[in-house]
Amino acid sequence: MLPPNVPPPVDAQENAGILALFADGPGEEYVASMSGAQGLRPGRGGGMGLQPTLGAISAMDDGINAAAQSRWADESRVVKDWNPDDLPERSGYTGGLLADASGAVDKMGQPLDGRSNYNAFRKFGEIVGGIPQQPLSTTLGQLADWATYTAPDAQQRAAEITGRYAPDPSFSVLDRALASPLGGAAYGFANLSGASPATQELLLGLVSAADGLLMSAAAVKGAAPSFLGAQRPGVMDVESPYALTSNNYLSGIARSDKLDMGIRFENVQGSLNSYSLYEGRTATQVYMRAFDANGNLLSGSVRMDMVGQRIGGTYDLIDYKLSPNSPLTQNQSMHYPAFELNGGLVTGLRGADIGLQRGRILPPTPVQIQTGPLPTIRK
Amino acid sequence: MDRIEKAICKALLPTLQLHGFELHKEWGYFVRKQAYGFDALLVVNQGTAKGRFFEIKCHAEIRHDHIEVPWNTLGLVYGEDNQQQTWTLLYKDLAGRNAEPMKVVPESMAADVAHVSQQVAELFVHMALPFYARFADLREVEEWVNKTPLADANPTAGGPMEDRAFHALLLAKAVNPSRYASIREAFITLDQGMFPRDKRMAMLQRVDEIQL
Repeated sequence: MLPPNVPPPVDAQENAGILALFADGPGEEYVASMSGAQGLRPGRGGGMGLQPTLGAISAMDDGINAAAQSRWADESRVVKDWNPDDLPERSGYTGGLLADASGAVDKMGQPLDGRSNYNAFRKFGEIVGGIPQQPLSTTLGQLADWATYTAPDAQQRAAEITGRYAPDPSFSVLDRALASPLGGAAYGFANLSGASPATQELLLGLVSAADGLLMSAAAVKGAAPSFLGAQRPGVMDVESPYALTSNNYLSGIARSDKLDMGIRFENVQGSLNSYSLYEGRTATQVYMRAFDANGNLLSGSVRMDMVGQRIGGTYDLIDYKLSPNSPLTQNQSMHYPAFELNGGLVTGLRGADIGLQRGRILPPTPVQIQTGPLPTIRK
Repeated sequence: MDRIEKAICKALLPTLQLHGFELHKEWGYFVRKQAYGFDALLVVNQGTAKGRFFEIKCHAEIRHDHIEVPWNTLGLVYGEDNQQQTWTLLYKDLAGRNAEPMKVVPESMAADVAHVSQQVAELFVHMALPFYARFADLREVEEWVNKTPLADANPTAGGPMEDRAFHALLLAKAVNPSRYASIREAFITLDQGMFPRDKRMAMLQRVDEIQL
């Protein structure tokens, strides 16, 4: 509330619009309604509100002084002489909005129900420019109003600005489609087929969920179904040159270790068998060949890890493998079954250690493959 | 022959040539031709089964064609060339089972080959040559083999039961017929061998029919 003896504000002319509302018609009704009611509240921005009319002021505040009443009486006079052509220039106004608002403006000249064009810099210039013509207290009051002013449509403008930069729903759909190409395809199919937006949303959600499950399963089993588009392999080869070097090095070590372990296993298990089963009547690394069904020798030869002679005069042919998964060589795959079916012979001199001379024929004898302590060595 | 066997045989060759042995390139061992057949010295690389080294073994054998030719008609050895190499007596592992194995380590192959060659040469001189001298006489062979008929403990007669049995039978039949019946009886009683009994009986019948 302005103190007594305060001259009308500089922007009193801008209030002419709103004062005109009370000159006749709706204005009178408004003043009447305000007489027994809450009156006009400060503006929506919480700062300086709508300047009350002279009648309203009288009704709400009996203590208002005569000078103030006189000032408002002058303003009322202005209102009476109001001409729409006398409205100050309002750049940026849309005539339609302002006309709809019936010209009601706040103390800063901004329409109460229209679209504001408040320019804080221009207003500040006007206040400063009026310093020579008015008291300092008036200027300070105007500056206080200026500093705390909020345009009537501030919330609407804020909502418009916020909405302008808010994510568009179509962006959300696009984002979800990129995350799940299968879901995106379903969405596009539904869109093209004219399905309702709800159906499109439902399809996108359901198929995206199914796509996610499939990709999860693929990741678990270490392979990705390529037809899904979004491939997420479970195991990736490390392509760093350092990693490759390390892998090659470790692979070489593993091969060397397996070979070493195989030799050691053959040595230990062979020695154990030699003394426990054959009382030392064994020969190692004996080259042998098997007969085919027609009694002819198969091509190539195999090197039997151990040939042991039992007390009964029979011979055991033993091949030591470090693991049950250790593969047979091509010759072993060919000769071992033939040994069991057709028998074979000794081709080298190493059988001499147990009396098997070169060319000695052995009757059909199964080759025993004794596996080592490593249960799961993979190729 | 692998390269280790060749290297050892090359180092041994001068020593063995002094005693009439030559390296048979096809057979892969030293052979000395004799009127009764041949004497042989075998140097065998037994491979890597004992660890990260190659174990070398040395065997001496003597062949009497008078026994081996009929013996090879039994069909125990495949191939004519192999049949020409069969032995009548084998002195296996001249170093003995309890001796320290003769090793060749890849990292020190040249030195190990020289050392092993020296060992084999000594075995040849001290073990093989007396063996050849003694069993050049077939009667000595028969006496040695049939002293304890079909005995497993006889190292030089070791090997498949059929080999020992039919060598014993043929030796007895050729040199000492009076012992043939007892050896034959021992063979019938001893139910051992790689082949079924009926096959061994058929082979025995074959020996019975052979005229030596």
